[in-house]
Amino acid sequence: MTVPAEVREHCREARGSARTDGLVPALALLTRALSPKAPPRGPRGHAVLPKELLDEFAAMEAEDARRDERRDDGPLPGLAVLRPADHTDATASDGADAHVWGTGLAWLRLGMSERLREACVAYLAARQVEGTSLLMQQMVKGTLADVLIEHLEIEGVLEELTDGSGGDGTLDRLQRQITRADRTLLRLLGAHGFTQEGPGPAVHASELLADVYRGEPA
Amino acid sequence: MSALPASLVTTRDQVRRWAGDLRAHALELDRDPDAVRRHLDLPAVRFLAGHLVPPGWDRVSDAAGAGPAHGLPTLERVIVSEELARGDAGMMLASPGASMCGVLLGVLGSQEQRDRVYGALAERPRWTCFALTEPERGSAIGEMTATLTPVGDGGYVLNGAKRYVGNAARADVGAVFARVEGTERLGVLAVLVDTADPGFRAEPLPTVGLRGAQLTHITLDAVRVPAEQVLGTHLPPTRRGMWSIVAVFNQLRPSVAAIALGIARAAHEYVAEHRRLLRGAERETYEELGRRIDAARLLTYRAARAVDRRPSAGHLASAAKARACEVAEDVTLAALALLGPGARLDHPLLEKLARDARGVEFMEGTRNIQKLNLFQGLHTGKVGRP
Repeated sequence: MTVPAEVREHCREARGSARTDGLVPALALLTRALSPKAPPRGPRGHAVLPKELLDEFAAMEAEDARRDERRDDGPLPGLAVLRPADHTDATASDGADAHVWGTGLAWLRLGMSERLREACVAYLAARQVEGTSLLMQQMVKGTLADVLIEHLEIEGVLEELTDGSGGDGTLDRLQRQITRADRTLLRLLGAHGFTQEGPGPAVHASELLADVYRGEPA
Repeated sequence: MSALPASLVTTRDQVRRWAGDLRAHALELDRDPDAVRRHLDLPAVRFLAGHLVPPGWDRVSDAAGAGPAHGLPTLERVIVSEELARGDAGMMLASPGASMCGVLLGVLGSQEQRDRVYGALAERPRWTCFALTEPERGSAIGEMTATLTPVGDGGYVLNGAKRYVGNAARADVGAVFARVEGTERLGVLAVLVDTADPGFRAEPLPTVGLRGAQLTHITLDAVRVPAEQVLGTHLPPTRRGMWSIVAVFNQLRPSVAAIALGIARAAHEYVAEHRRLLRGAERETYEELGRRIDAARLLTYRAARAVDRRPSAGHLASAAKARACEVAEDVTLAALALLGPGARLDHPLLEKLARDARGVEFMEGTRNIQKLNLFQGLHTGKVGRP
C-alpha cells in the first residue's frame, strides 16, 4: 500500500519531534496530521493520545457518536488512554487509516528510540569507573553499536515501506524490533532506566502505543 | 539434575499454595506501595517476616535465622522465591523480614548481631534494607564514596548517599556498605544502622514496576555506628570486605533469577488461562516459552546448589541471573503479543508483569555485570570445564 507524499512528510516530522521534544508532543503532531477528526483507534477500539487533544475530539464528536468508554491517565504526564466498553464498535471511527497510522507510529517510535540512545550516551559518558568513562567500556560500545545497526535497518525498511512496499506483518515486526532496541538501551542504564524520573516511563508509553495499534494475531 | 530433597518438595508445595494470596493484592500494591501494611497477616507475608514456619520445615534449630537442616539454603530460597514471585514479586519484595540483610548476617554477622536483629524482627513485622548502590556510581566497590570515619572506640561515623535501595523508607534496620576512611580502594565494611538514628533519611523513588519494593534514595549524614554494629569484626580481615560482598551476591543472585522465573511463569500461565485456544505458530511460540522457563530453572537450581556447596562458586549464579532475566522480559512481552492488540490495557495484571520483568534486570548486577563475571570465570578456568 502506497503512503502519500504528505503522509511521508508527517512521518518524518513525527520522528524528528520525538527525538527532540519527546513522545507526547510528537504524538500530538502526528495525530493532528493523520487523524484530525477522531482519535486513532487500534483494531480493538483502544486509543492512546495526548490529553490536549481529548477536548478537541470531544467537541468534534456528534452526541450520537460518543462511545461508552473509560478515559484514564497514560504512563506519561499529558497522555491519556481510551478503553472502549465494547469491542464490537471498534471499527466505527473517523480516525486514520490503520496502515498509514501504523507507519507514522513506527517512525515516531524510531525517533523515541533514537532519543533514548542519545540519552544513554550522555548518561554513560558522565559515569566513571576506574577513572574511565563508562561509555568507553568495550561492552558498552558494542551494545550501542548493535542498537545503531537496528536503528539504521529500521530506518531503511521504513523508508521502503513509506514508498509503498513491505508485506503484511512488516509493521508489527518493526515495532517488535524497536521494542527490543529500547530494552537493550534500558539495560545499559541499570536502575536509572526503571525510575519515573529516568527515561523508563517514555519507553513504557512507546511500548503501549505499539501494543494498542498492533495487528490482530494471525 | 538430581531430584530435590523431600523436605524441599514439601517446602515448594506449601509455598505454592500461598501464591494466590499475593496475586490477589498485586494490582493494589502496584497502585499503593504502602498497601502491604494492610496484608501483614497473610501466611506468605508472615513467613517472610519470620513469624511463621510451616510444619514439616526442616530447620537446624529453633533459633531465629537458623538455616535449613538439609543444608541447601540457597536452593531453598530459590524455590520459595520462584513460587512467591509467581504469586506477585511486588508483594514478596514488599514483605517485612530479614531478606537480603539475613543473607548478609549469615555471612558476616556474629551470633550477638544475629540475635539482636532477629530478636527485633520477632517482636513484630519489621522491614530491613541492604544499601550498597550509590548515586552515579552503581554497585562498583572501587567507586564507593560512602565513608566510615573511625571515632576511636571501634565505632564509626557514617556519611554518604545510597540509591535504589528497596524498603529503606519502611525499614527499622539497614545494612550499609561503606569505605573506611584512609584505607585502600577496596577497604569496604558492612555495618548495621538503626534507621531511626539521627542523620538517616530515606525517600522513595517512584518506579515503572515492582512498585511494592519501594526503591529509595538514602542520605547518611553523620550517622553513628557503635562498634557492636560493625559486621565481620569477629572474622579475619580477608573475610570482611570484598570476599563477603561476593559471597552474599553469589547467594542472592540465584534468588533474583528465581524471582524472574516466577514473573515469567505467571505471564506464561496467564496466557494459558486467557487464551485457551492457541494454534499453529502461536502454540509453538507458547510451548517454546515454556521450555525456556524450564531450562532457565534447571540452570538456576544448578547455580544454587553450586553456591550451597561453595560460597565462592558464583559463576553459575551469574549465568542463571542473566538468563532468567532475559527469559522474564521475553516471556512477558510475548504473552502480551499473544493476547492481541490493547492487551496492556485489557489485561492489567499481565501489563504489570511486563513492567516488573524490567525490574529484576539490574538487581544484584545488570546483565553486563553478570557477563563480566562469567568471562572472569572462563578466563581463570573456574567455569565451563567438564
